Amino acid sequence: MPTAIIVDDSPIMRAQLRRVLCTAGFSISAEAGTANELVALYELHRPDIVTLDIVMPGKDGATGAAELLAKHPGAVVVMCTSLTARDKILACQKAGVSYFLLKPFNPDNAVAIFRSVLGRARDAQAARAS
Amino acid sequence: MITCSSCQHGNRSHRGYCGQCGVTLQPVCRGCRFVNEALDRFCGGCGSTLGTGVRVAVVAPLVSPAPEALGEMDELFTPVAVTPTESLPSAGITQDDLDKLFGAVA
Repeated sequence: MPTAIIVDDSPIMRAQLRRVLCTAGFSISAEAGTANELVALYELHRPDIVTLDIVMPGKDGATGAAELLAKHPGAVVVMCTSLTARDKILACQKAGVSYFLLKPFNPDNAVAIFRSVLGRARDAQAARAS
Repeated sequence: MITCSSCQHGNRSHRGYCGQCGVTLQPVCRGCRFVNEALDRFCGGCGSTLGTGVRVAVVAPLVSPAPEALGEMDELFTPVAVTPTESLPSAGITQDDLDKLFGAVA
């Protein structure tokens, strides 16, 4: 079963993402309300997907994604945020974020999105390995 | 007339720059063949008067600025990262815009 880490400062949003990811077939390895310890959390659990909010207390999600992907380029990061600041979006793209999902999202669509992101990442891994 | 050695345009003998391509036309002294500056009236090599003699076209070489000079420019002008992001609007960004940037997945 694929695994996921949810990083969002809103407990309500974490609960919604938990439901969506579980419906999509993921098991939740860990949750956090800040990106401060994201790299350590990732190295501890090695999840298949990380969902990241951007606006959070402490380190913002875009910075956290950049740090994580710099150290672990194979990490699959999906930004889940209502922020549409162009500079942050471009920073996420440059860092290697796999997908950017705007809140509020339709849960059914989000289920399909997380499955597709995982499939796309696995295809890319298989292509690199062959 | 002076024929520009760069574009072959004919220029009047007093001109310091080619009227067609703009390169510097440097006067060559008839006596000592010294190559003078564009608007010199007297030869820097022998001191004779520069008249309607030969002028050669000189194109300034393109020289890349030194890295330290670029650093100084960055202090004066905010560096702008150029990325292929024309598809992302500056405001009113939607999920469709993001799908174009990150790739649609579902």
